[in-house]
Amino acid sequence: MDVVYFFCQQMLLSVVPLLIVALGGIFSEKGGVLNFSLEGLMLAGAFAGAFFLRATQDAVSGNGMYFLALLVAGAAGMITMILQGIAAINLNGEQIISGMAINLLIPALTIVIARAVIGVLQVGYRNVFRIPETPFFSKIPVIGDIFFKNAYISTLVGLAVLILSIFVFKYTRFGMRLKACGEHPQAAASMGINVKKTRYTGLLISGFLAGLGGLAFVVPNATEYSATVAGYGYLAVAVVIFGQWQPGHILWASLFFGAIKTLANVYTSIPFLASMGASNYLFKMTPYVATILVLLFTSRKSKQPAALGEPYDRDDTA
Amino acid sequence: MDKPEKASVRFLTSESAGSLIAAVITIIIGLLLGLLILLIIAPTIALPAFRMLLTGGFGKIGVLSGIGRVLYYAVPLIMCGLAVGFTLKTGVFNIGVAGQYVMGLFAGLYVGISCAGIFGSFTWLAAIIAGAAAGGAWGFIQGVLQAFFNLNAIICGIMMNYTGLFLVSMIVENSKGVYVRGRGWTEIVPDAAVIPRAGLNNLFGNSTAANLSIFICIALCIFAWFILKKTTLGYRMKAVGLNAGAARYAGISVRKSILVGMLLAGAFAGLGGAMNHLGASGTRYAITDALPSQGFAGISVALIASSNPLGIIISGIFIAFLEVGGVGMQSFGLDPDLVDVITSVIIYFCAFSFVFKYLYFKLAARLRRSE
Repeated sequence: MDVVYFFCQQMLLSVVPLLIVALGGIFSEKGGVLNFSLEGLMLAGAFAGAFFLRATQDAVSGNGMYFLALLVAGAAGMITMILQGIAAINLNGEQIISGMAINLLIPALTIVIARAVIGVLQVGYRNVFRIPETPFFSKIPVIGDIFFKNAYISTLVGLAVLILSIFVFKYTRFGMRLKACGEHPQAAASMGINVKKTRYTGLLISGFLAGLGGLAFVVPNATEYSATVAGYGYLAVAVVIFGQWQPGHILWASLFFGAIKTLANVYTSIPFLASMGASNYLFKMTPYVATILVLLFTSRKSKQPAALGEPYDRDDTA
Repeated sequence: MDKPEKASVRFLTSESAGSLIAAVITIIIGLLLGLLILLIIAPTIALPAFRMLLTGGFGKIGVLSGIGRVLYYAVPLIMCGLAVGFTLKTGVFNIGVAGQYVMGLFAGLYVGISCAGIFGSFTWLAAIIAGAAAGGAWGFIQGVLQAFFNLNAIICGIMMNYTGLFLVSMIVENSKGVYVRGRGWTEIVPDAAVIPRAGLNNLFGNSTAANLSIFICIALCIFAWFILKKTTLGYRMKAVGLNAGAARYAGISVRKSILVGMLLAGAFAGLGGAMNHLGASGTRYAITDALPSQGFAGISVALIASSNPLGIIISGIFIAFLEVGGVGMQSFGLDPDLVDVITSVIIYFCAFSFVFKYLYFKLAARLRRSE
């Protein structure tokens, strides 16, 4: 049983960032703007958040600061996302190319900045944010063991983001309008919706969540920022497609990918897998092969927004 | 009355001139932003460091070793650029180049190290052909996934990259005679498997690894240009790239175009990987969890050249030139990653380079009217 709890606790460390970042992805894509830059946004958020934690740790520390750092990370993601906004919304550029550029730019830029400011490329900080046991809640059977032991507050943040996303897309006027911009921007415009502004708003929310998710990945999974989020941003793009752009489905998709990723990370601690003697690299390869296999079966009936990746030009309506 | 236009005017108003101008503008913006970052992070040494970046590729005055080094660096960049650009012409954005590159690199090293006894002094040739075959096979698998299973090309490419990387690590680890246990790297490539220098060492000095492969690169770029420009196959591929629906309606097989494009692109990238690692003597491959940067640099090489195979030769040499300069910047205590910042800024501006093209043509039209 301990192995199961251990696995579930470990799995949350992968699932939560994937969930937050993939939900961030749909805020952009539901509005019709491709978000291929999730990896770069995660890196921007993780870098800014780690830097913030490093700068403030001697004055205050603890989970309040972690929460603040998550907000800082979100802001950094948001600022980075403006680059995609300019290229995709203002200049009607090639969205995949600008997204790829962000993915390549941010790791290099953060290395250059970190080297210039602190001398090394790793941004280290005192990692004191693991909560070994939450008072009261950890006593609840099963749930307490999984969610409230060795927990991070980012798990709760992830849950909040999920509920909010479902609510926004289902019940709010903004959510409806955003979807309209992604399905048929000309029709949306004819109803008096400002397409560019709505898309920009979605884009900025997307950047915020992806940046936040970046720090939510680095803090539980690493002791420092070292210009990598282990390809989670790319996995999140796959989660968006596998989750068919629906917040509820994205939860299941994140759980699926998170489970496989966790298996690759912790198989040495699980007796029967460790005894198989298979190559370490076989486990590392599994999440990516699984993604391809899963997409093989889901790609045909894709529910992607009809106008995804298409620039909106007011002249088209004429 | 229309008078016949002069050749110079015809060129200046042509599509290629627009692409060229757009490329130059994006490069200048990229370099200026690089300079700006240098001025912010290290104001005192910014200018000499930037000069090193721009001139380091020439090496010391009177010695051609810098240029020799640039030509060695350019080989994988040109091949990866060609792998991206060739498929871009058929409308597929090939992000799987890094995986195809690793596959080719591994097959090349494997044949080079373990088959030297069979092929004798032609081992290098057998090795790079093996590299091309392995890269081509990996590209072909990706092509099948895209053409027959409707997989998103981007996701497919990324997943194939990581799968290829870890697959190679797994095979290397289990290859007796190739892998050095406990060190995490392969044996040194034997001399028979090192690509001949073709006299370039007399020109650039023995310290640089410039070799025959740069000529193979150029020949393959011309070959790709020929296919795209002069053959029915190339015509069909371009038609699919411009409008897949219309091409299908005209009886052109979209699937075949994607498959052929990915097969050849994979072979180019694989060859690039093999030629890079067999180009210098004494190289090993160390197992790593990071994708080779050349795969992504290939994207900028292709985009700067607007995917024109002949332009890719020039843009590949240009990026190699910056990389050599970037290595030189380390003597100022600066990180060579600044070069990656500059190339990614260039890629970013390539996303809307048509804006620059548009402005240029507007300007050109106004100048012509005022004549």
